[in-house]
Amino acid sequence: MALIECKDVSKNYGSTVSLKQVNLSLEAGRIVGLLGPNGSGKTTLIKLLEHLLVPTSGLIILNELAPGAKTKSFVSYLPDRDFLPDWMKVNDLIKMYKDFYEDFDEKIAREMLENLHIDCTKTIKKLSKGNREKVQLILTMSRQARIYLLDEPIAGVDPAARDYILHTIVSHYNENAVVLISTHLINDVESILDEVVFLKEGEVVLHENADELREKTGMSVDEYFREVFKC
Amino acid sequence: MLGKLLKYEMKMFGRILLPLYGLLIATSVITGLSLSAVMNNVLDEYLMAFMPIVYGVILVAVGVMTIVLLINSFYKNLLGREGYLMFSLPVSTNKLISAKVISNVIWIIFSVLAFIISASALAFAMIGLSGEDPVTIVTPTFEEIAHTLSQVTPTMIINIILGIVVLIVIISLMIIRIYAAMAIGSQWNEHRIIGSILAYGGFQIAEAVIMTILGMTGYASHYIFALLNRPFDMDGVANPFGFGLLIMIVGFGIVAAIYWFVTWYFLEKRLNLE
Repeated sequence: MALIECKDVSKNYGSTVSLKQVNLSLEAGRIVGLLGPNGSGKTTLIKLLEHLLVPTSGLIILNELAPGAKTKSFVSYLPDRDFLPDWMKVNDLIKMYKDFYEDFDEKIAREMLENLHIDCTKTIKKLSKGNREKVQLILTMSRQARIYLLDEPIAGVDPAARDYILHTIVSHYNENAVVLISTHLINDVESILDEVVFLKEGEVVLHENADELREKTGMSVDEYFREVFKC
Repeated sequence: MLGKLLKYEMKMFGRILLPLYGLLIATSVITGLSLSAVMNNVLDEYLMAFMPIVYGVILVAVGVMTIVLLINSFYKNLLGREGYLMFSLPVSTNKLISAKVISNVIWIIFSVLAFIISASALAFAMIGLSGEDPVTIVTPTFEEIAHTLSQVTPTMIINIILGIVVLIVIISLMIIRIYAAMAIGSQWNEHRIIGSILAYGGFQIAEAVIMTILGMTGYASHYIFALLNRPFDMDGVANPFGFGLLIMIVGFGIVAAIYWFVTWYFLEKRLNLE
């Protein structure tokens, strides 16, 4: 049974078409790369899955439910920008996540924060940009969710932190969950991807198993991406 | 979940407003003491002007901050970047709006109470230093209380309750009207603030036009009396004042419900986060 199911999903902003007839079915136990150049519709697709946007047409089903308040209890979402209130302390946010998400594991969150030497008594405002992004990712990944939607999770952090973050993603999702990572830094995430989805001008142009794609094309996903999206 | 949302709303406002309330009440006491000290020639006269100005400034600050937080808690927390967090919580859009409206009603009432307390503290402090005992001046005698209570009728109690409900409905209407305007303003990617102000102006004009039409023709009252199966006059109404309040609750309630729907529609169906 697919955890994420999109049937003919389209999204227009006025006369601008952002997504065109997207059909996508993603199963549990997979880490899926949502890859495409800027403006290809990656963020729009993720926002539709998170119910921050409503499709112009088509149907989205997440674990047998339409996106809404209920699906948010098992979908863990990391937006592509700073979204935490800057007056709140990291400790306050841990409490808030625990309050609202039954699947939030405080122990895991505190462990990761400690590993990255983040001071939980500081307010978000006082953290560096990189540390803020780490806190956001830790809060997102400390939930035992069924679906993880990560929009550009590594864009703002240094390469050393990138490795830690990718390791975090791989080690904290379980076989019942699916992880959808949108990025254009393919080289960095390629090693952890089970499947890849290419988005081009709002259309899914490819959805394949990463190993099979490499075998078929004789290239890495990164190399193949560069060829498909050559300017 | 509404309770949890409210908890965070109250925290968000409280960290700014509670210290301001404290400052307001402290200043009012100092103002009262200094004024009576001036009157008793203990202090120089320039203080006569100085402390009341400080008190006035803080009073204005409380008022302005209450409104700024009202706007900001919606604009920043729901329509701005923080909206990504709020709209990812497993709660319905209606609950998000409810939490905002309820907490804002509460804080507006708190701000008014803080003003009343500070004004009373000022008066007490002034009387206190004038040599008189403030408690005997302000506290009514037992007979006075008993006399007032003996005059209270059930109708009066009903009307007081209705009056409080009218106040809460009017405050809620003011809040949700601002929210609806901002929800519409957020549809633009730029000039969101101008969009919100224009929408708010549009609402005011629309309300004025509708009110004028209803007022001139008296349709509203006719309909209500027709619904109650009564001739169009107040003679047959047992409690005309309470009846008037009830009509206000229903009338303002309907307007508030329309703005609520507008707000809900734009947040649920056409959310456009920064």
